[in-house]
Amino acid sequence: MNVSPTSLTTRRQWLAGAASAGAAAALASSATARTEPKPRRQLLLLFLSGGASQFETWDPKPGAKTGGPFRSIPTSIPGTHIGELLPHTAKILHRLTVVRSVQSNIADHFQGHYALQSGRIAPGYPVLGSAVAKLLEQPDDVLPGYISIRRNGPKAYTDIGDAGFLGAKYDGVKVYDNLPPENLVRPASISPGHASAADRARRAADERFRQGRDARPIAANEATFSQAEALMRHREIFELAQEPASMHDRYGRHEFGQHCLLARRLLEAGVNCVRVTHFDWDAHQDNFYWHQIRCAEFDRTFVTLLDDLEQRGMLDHTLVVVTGEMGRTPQINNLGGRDHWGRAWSMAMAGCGVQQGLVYGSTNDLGTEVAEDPVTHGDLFHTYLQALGIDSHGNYLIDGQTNPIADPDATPVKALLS
Amino acid sequence: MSAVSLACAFATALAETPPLHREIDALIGERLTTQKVTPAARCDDATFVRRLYLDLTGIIPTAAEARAFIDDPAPDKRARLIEALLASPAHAIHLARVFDVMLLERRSAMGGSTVDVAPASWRAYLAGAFAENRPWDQMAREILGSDGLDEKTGAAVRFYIARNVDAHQLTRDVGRLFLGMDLQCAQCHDDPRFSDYRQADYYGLYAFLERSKIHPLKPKGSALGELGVGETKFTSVFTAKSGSTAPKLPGGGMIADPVLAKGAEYRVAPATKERPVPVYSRRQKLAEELPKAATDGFAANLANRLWAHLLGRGLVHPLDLRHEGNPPSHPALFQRLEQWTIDNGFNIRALLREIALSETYQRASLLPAGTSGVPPEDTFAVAGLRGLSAESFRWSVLQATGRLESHLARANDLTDWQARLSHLEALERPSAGLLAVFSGLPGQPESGFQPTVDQALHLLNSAKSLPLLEAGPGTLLERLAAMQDPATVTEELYLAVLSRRPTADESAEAAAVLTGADRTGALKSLLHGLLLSAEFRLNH
Amino acid sequence: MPIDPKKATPAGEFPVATPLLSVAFDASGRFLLAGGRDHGLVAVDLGAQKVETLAGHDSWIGNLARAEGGLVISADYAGRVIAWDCAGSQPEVRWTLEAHPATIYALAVSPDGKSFATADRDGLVRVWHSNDGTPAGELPRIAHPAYGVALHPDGKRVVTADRQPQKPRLLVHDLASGRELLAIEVAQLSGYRRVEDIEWGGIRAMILSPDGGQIVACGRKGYDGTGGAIVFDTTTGKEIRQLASPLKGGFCYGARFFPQDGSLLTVGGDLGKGELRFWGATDGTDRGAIEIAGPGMAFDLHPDGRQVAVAMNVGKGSYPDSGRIALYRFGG
Repeated sequence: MNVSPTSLTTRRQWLAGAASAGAAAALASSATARTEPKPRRQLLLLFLSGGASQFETWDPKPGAKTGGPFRSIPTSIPGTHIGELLPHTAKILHRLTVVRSVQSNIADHFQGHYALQSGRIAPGYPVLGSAVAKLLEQPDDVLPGYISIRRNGPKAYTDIGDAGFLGAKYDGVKVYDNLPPENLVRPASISPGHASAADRARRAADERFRQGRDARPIAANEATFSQAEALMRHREIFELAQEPASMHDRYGRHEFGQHCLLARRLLEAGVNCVRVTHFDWDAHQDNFYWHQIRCAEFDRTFVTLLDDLEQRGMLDHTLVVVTGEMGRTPQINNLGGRDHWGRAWSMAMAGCGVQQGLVYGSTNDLGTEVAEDPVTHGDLFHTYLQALGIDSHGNYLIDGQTNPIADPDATPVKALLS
Repeated sequence: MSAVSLACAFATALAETPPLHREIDALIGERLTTQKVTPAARCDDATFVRRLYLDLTGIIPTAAEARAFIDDPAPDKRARLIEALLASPAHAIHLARVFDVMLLERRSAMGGSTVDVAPASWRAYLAGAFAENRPWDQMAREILGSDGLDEKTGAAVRFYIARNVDAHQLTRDVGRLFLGMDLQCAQCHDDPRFSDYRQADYYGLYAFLERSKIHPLKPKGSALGELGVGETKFTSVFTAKSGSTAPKLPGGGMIADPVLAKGAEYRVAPATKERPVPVYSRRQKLAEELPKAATDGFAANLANRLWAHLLGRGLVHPLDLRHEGNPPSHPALFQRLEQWTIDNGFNIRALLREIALSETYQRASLLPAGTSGVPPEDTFAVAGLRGLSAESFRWSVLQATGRLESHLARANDLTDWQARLSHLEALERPSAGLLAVFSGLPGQPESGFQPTVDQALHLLNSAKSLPLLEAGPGTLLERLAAMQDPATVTEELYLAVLSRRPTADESAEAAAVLTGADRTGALKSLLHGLLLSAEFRLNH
Repeated sequence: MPIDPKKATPAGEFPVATPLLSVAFDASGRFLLAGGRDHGLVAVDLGAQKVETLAGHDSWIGNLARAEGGLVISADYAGRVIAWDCAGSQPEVRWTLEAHPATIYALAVSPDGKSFATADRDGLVRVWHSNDGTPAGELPRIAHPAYGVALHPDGKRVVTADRQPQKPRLLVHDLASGRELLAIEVAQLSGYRRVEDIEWGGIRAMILSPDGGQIVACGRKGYDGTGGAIVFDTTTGKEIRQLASPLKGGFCYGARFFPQDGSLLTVGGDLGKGELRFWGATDGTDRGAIEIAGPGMAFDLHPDGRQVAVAMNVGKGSYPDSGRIALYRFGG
């Protein structure tokens, strides 16, 4: 593994402040926790919420009746074209894996958000960030394993899914508008003496209450306090002003760009999984206008992010996943929109554990059906885990109950893995 | 006392069969035996009094109430407490809060308070209904049939208004919340996973609702109008097959609209700024037809939800996924509860009473000695550790810190739910932060204990909520300050916060801390620590 | 003599394989060109009753307009503009211009036909000479997508219509200096939704009266409201009147003044229900409509002033799957 000195130093800095959290991690460890140190693997999920159109991005059909007004452009993979709205991405396509044959058959935001992140339809399973936070957990982790960054606007379906039966410790900490979580600073009215006395009282009470009871909810309570403590200690991660102006420019001075910049800082600081939600792909009207705006933001920021991760030596241990909850209809509606579509659409990956320069699967000429190599949301979930070095056929083992990590009816797509 | 004996006499007279709570224990016990699972022991009095107050009033007991119950030697004190709490105004208000969250899932209408029904009138509608133990079928008729204008039941229309009278959302939620069936998957296609989830069922329910429209009122609020015409058509996105349907309940037959002469469809015809009122209302038909014993799922859904309210988990779980792929954990009990609910006229209080009387409800959360691991939740062998709802957490913090008790002491009349409810309003603002950080997502059912880092940070550092800890007139800390003996102080503290006496260890630890110079500071830290503890945050 | 919609008679109909966005007659009235969700430009030879498809664009053709010298100008979603010479036996490319780096949303020819303006998604507004496609001016970029542009008969002013969130604007500019002379906020045509912070409406079409004294802004009232048009005074910016169609849903996609009597015609609708609606010259009275089978996306008046061609779409559900050009002849 190729880790640059910078990231090692950074990691060590975080470890220096980790003393108190060790106990919490040990407390919550389960039968799946392994004792030998694992190589660091991280996940960055860029979730295109609302559902990006595959036609305007990864799988253009120029000139087809369903193709829309835009052209396709050549990419760094000879003979492969993508939509003209992604000119920067086109130049680095040889570093990506693109799947053009996603067949989730879900045309609903809520179900799609859940299924594309949990790899299941049945409710109650952990979403990708939570699952990976659990499965990649190491005894010396200080910060929450999963942080989700989004804008602070109401849109219930983007918050679908949680840690399910893994419990609150693995639930994403929500960061809104790049602001540190609320209440990160102790108010003046609370003296340090009071804080530590209250903490001692809580720990003593929890320790006694745990005797002879189901330890999970009690550990979950404990975990939230140790993670709160760690976040309070390390709140400078959220100080984006520490990044040079040029970095802000490269990432883009818009919501998505700034959120991705914070995501990089969080990954660098040792958070195992970060999700950034890119909003408003749900273009039931004016799909083409709106995809120009969305793609322009996504395109440059995405390429900057990959370059930055690579330069910092982080990309070879970080899996970057770009997906939404569904694609958009081949048919273009009366208001120039495309609607919900789950039968044949596209996603992309880069970084740790996946092929480079691979375009997998295909759709028919009109883009209405998968023509070759269909891939389900369950298959994708298996594949993400395998790329991160996790045996996706394994089980969670929690208090004697086993539960398959990934849907046993689905399989990893081996061709996508490096 | 008299209420108990009356209820017993009534139950005996009604039938020779054993009371329902015995049947519950027998049917739960049967499966424990076949599964070879040892159930936990009966919980102690301190656990019981806290649990029952939380489940029936949504608030932990005061120190005095806890002490009185624990020290009461009467053998029938549990049954008496169940009876007393069920009859209390606090119970009606609590059920109103529970059903508010259950039925609205923290939604509010787009357009905010100018459009929405005032939350206070909606809550008052619910509390009034629960205070008189109105049968659930009648409540369901009112909620589903309200057009928002009736003086007594108008606020019930909030079920529709908070969903913006969106027919798809309503179809899903009427199915989920009144019948225990989530038909959403059927919206786009015949769900291949569950053969009894049919697109026709979805659109059959949808047909009852699609003609209803929101009608804004001046200066605030909304009523419902309804069209008298319009056919329900649907297309499967998968097969492109189309169909059309008349209103029908899941599993039932189609209900054809009466034939009306063209032009005679309306009492009030649609026109600008008019609220259209049809001669034949499909929504009224739904309100008439759905809340019936014969409707698949109507009685079972109520029974399952009340069961889950007291046991932390439904016999069918999740509560809205009743279908052949997700059978009840105890099919015979599920059927029995459904039938009992029907036989007893959808009597909510009676069913809560029976479940609370059962040994199954009264088990300890302590695992039986000698067992390893936690038995599966669906055996109900051990009392679950259930997170306090946002509402319960808020009011229990106010209770533990003494603020609620002293505030109520200033009220003139506490026997009337309306007086109590309006008197409580003054405490809502200072505790609004707690409610917000513990509330779930709008549109999502709330279940399970899911503590978050946000909550931890709030409880540790929030400038909004920390003032609740401070000493002041009528607070616990002020009360404790007046006590001298450390043992007395510790006992009062533990009874106030955790509804039990401290253990010897706890007394000793507290005594050690309280001998320092800043006794008030030490007490505040101890109180804060206990409020952060899992024991306080859980209903155990 | 005022045009009477009740005396309009159908004068022909041409099905087109793909949904339409634009239509225009050539100067002689012989050719009718139509473009839409296809790269091919449809050319109807009304004399020979023949339909051909012309190549030249490789994106959707959103706008068409008649210019001087027998030209019809077409503009597409990729920024390309083509001038079609319609003087011969069939339309031929006179010149091709890569006019904008982004989607052209609006195209308007000056009243004298000698120049035309184009406006794009990024708010770039450019003016060109019709005869050879050479630049004749450019405005400082406006901050929002420009959906409408018009050249004032005084030859100096350019009016633009945009999609500023919550307050779509009409801007009157001085072409030579680039100065903004007047800004009119048309909040009535906003379809802004706070939930996603997007303006879904905006002024989707805009024209000037033949004397330049009035501006007509077309669009939709609210996110899912009704199509409508609003008339403003070009000098004062004051609202003169609102034209409220009784047709519910959809957009108002275009408007045109009748040169002979100053009355106004608008077009719009939604799938399955469209209209050409007539409005009184001086008072804006609703004078009735010609109902059409689908949303009228665009229309053009025949050079003789007695015929109209409307481009509409037909399909199932909310999906148009083909287009149709319908001709109507006015009585009297």
